[in-house]
Amino acid sequence: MNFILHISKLDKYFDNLHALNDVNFDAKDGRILGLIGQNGAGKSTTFHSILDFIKYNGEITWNGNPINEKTFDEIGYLPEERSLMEKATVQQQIVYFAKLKNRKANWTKPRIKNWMKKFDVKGDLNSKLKSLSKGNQQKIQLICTLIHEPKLIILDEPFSGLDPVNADLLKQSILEAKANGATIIFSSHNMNNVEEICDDLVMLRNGEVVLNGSVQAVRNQFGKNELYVTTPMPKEELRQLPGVETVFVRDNEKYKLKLSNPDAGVELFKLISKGEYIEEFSQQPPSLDEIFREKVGETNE
Amino acid sequence: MVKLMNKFKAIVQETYVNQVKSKSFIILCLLPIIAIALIVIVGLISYQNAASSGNDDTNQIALIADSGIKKSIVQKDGDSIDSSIKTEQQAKHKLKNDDIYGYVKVTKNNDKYTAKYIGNESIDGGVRDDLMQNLSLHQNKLNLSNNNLTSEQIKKLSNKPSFYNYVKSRSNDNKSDDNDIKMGSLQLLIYILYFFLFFYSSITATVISKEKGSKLVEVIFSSTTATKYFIGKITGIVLMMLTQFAIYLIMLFSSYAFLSQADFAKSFIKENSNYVHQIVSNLFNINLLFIIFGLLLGIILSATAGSLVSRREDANKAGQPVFMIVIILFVLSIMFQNNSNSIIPKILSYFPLSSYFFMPIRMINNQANIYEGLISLFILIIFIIGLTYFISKVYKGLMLQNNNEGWFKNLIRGVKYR
Repeated sequence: MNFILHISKLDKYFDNLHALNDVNFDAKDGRILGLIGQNGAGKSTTFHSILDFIKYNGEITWNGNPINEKTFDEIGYLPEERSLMEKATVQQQIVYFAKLKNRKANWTKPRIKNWMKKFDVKGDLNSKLKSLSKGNQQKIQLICTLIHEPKLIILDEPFSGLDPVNADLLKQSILEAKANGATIIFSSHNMNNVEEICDDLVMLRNGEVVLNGSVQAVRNQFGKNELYVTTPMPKEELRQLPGVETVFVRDNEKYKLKLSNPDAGVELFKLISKGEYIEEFSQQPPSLDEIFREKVGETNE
Repeated sequence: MVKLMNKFKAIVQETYVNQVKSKSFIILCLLPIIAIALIVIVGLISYQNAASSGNDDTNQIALIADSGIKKSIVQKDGDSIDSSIKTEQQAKHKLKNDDIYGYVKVTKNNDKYTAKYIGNESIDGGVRDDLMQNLSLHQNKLNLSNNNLTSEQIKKLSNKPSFYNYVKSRSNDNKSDDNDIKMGSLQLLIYILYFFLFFYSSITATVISKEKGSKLVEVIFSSTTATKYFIGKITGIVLMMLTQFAIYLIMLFSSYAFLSQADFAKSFIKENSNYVHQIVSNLFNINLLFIIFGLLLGIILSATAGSLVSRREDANKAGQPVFMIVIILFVLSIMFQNNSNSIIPKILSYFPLSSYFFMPIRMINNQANIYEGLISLFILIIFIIGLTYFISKVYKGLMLQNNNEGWFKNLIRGVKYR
């Protein structure tokens, strides 16, 4: 059975602000979808629509059914703003949230320890949440999101505020959930995270979908017109070569050339290497970061 | 269906357990114990004082009189009279030493008895009455023997108007007592409502506004419905309230039972038991239902007020709209408690936002009968059901909107939100 989150013709106005404009995309099981966009592009509004927090026009279904209290049990949601109960202990907090997902206390309790180990949480079951560091509190909240084994995982900016080590722990658990067949959708404005773990991506700009597809397809759609080279040739000389539009200096003798046409690469290889050994010559599609900047830039024109 | 009830139970349980474990609840429950302990201590101290002062010599006076007169008075008031003092000289001396607080000297001049009292403080009323009664008896004898009357004449002369004193034990037509009971009941009612409304409104508003402000509610609303959350929270807090009432009742009855056995308080309790019973019976009837439903309404309104706050830091201010209502009701009820049959309190006793103050006041004042009370209670309950239904429908919007434009605009926005 396929678990698909299907969003079609999603439209939402806040007063006069057109927050979402005809948004269409699918999130499939066993795949990770990254929802990218600037602040205010409509990422959280999309999540809030999925979770039925707000009224919207259009259709959102999970396995063909509308999302309601019953389907909530299959959803794990991490809100953008992190928060836990003030006075509770680690165990009380996790058990309470799991109960709201219809997991009985005696189902949840034996699993907490494992999760804490997996996320390397400093503290034990009876630690007061207030006494934990911010990072550890964030991990507890992630555990709350994932412990009931949701089929659809929605994470709003999960990487914000995590150090690289903890970001890696999070990536691992997201990949693990994917391996278990979950459908995962998360928002981010850090393209590196998206590039690393996402299978698909959707980019929103002012409430409209500007990019939609698998990460590779999206990148290829922009053509392999970026060339990374390491050469003693000066910048000016490189600029004069045929097919080169712009030259960025990355480092000493390291450049990134923007090509007018991917086919120019063949000729350029000859001209730059001159038939000799060359340390680096790599022709690539633009990175998501660049695509992101480019797409964002379009609005300003 | 059963599965979905689990979530409701989880919310109720979480709310209830957290609140009942909180410091403020425990302190509030201990308050009556502290109050009762204070009463007991004060009672003990005054009891001991009274006991020790019984042996104090300064309760006595001296009596200087004919031995016949003195004998008959000492027979009656022996405790109050130091009969060892025989002369005025002795009496003056003893008075100086504070062994007695005064003395009475009885003299006979021209066949007339005269009593003169000299003392540091005024003479005990009972002793004076006995003395005068005795003296007039002796004066009568003297008068009779001086005028040689016949026995028939004496009989006629001795005719006196009769005074028969019937005092029904604690009858209802005892006006001043009845008023005391009314006043006591009214004061108790108003203060109970005022205090508990404040306490439970602030707890409810704070709990909910914190969960809203911290966005905890987003996690909850991605698990269950806003209606379940709203009703679950209210149920949890109502259970907490009922727990508190139960604790108070147990304390009240056990301390009453204890005090009516204890030596130092027995007589006090006996004297006042009627008073206490009347007040209790004034409150433990339909009025108790008014109190409970009034508090329930306060909790529902506070849960709504709590959802109108957008930031966690404002949680303490969340209850303000409800506090305003409570204070206005408090002032009005103090104003009208003795004038509760005028048109304003009459209207207020049916209006659901105020009826739980004014209908009990009017019923205690015997200005409304049980049917009027039931009608008002019925209106209140219907209003509560309607309000709960309406709020639970818009609660998601109230809890998830994040404007900060004052509670009234937030309310309008929240209602429109979905």
